Amino acid sequence: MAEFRKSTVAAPVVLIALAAVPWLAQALGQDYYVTFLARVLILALAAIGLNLVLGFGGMVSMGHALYVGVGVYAVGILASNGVTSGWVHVATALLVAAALAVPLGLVCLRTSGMAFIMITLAFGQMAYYGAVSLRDYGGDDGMAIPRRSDFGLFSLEDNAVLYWLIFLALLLTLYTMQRLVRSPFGMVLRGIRINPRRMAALGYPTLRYQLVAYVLSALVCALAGVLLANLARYMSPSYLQWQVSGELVMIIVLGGMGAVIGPLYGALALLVLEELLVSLPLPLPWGLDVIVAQHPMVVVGLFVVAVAIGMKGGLHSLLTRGALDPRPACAGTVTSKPATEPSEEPAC
Amino acid sequence: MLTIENLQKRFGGLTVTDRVNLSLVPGELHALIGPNGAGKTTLVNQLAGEIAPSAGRIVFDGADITAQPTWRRALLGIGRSFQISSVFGEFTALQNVLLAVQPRRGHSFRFWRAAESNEVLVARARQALHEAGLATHADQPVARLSHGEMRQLELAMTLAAEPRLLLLDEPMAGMSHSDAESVIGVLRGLKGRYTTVLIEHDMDAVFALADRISVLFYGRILVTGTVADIRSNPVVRDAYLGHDERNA
Repeated sequence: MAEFRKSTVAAPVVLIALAAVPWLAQALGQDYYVTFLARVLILALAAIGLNLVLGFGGMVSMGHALYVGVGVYAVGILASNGVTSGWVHVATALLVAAALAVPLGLVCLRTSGMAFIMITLAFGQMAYYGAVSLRDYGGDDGMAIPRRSDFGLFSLEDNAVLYWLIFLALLLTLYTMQRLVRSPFGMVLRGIRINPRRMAALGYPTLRYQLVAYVLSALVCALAGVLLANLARYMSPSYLQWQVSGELVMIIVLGGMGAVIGPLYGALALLVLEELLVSLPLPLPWGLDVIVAQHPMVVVGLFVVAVAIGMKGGLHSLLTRGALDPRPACAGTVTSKPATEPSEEPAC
Repeated sequence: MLTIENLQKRFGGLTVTDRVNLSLVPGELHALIGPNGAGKTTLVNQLAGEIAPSAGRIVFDGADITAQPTWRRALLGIGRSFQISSVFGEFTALQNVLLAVQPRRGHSFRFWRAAESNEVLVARARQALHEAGLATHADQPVARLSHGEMRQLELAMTLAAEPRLLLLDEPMAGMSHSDAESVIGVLRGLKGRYTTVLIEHDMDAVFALADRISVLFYGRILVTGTVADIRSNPVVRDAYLGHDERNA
């Protein structure tokens, strides 16, 4: 409940602004911003999915681009073969993602920590080379997707409609995740992150809960992949590169992994900053503007480092700082004292 | 109740549990004592299922549980508390106890409604907090509780799961004298209701609480007996208690 209350100020403002993007872009005559922000929302969606295992489950997966890729190629391959129904695209993507996530999750979850990172990375790379080997679908160059998914009710050919569909998917996912992390399942998952031994001793088969979380997060990423294929109208192995997995992790850390909505802030900050540095000449003295324009990612990197060092809860904690209860900080000192001087601490 | 048959655990060349045989009487409080490194925690970890024994059997209520995973043993009724406080600091006290009672409802693959929305479980959790004297702290994040209160909560969680066999690993570790006194009081109140295995260094507490005591020394049970037996046993005095008395 605490997380929800804290974010009630920042979240509606951001979400309403995002809902209005197509109108604003139209007023400015800049349709480009619709597709740009649609891409941001898709990455945010994938990161929100990944955050279920990373932030709430404590499992650092470096291979979730695999499931984004499943979504992209499900749309691409089906559309290339004349299957245009969006419902079939979504159903196929989710089924294939689940069918992959169950066995892969079972293997990955035999490990934890660094080994878990390495194994998820390895599976991600296997999927990448798998996509490269799809010669009929463009090999390592990728291939254009003939047309967007057809959901029957509305046409996605209009970028604004596609944008709102993506936004709706994001909203529903946010709401579902918000409920999920507070549900019995969510509490068990978070408990396993904090202390898996204790949870097993309480009677929880921890692996099963972690596996279900892993599969759920894979499904969200596959959905993001379906939307990405529609936006880009292109399938390419580049969507399965490990850099994409890394970017998702970065988005989560930047936005704040303790909150469901954190990755949305992370995606917005990261991609908007990138975009601004590349497209807008900054009025900086001493030739710094040239350096920034030539090496925008260096500045982005510095920004990420600054947030990672300075804000433990990411941007989410910055946006909600005003509403934060200041007491936890001193509570930490209170609880650490008896641990060091146990015999002198009076009973409370 | 619980029978340990010829249990052995070796780590490479080191034998940490050496042919241990022990049979618990229902309702007894059985203390495990012994110097550091005697293998007390390793033995309890094997009973809880965290470590697989190299040989031997563990039988609980007539069923061989030697190969059962920890969580299944917990559901069968083996509850344990940990040496260090293993409460969940970012949850409230109520949420902590809810995690302890939730498994009794079957699986927790419930994704939609908040964990606190099940009134039966919440009532049971509040009752457990009340019994532990933590009712007023129910909605506080556990990180704000004192060390002693965390210990009480830890015990409340273990009891809320309604175990039949309690494994208590140094429940008074790191406690002030008054806190330890209150835990001894709680444990005395539990006597007879649960079969309990207690690891404890504080000899006063052990002698005050235990029905029977087993002395572990280099992985072996040196002797098992009543408090009086153990106090008067010359071997025990040499190996363990004598040392303790010199310090005191």
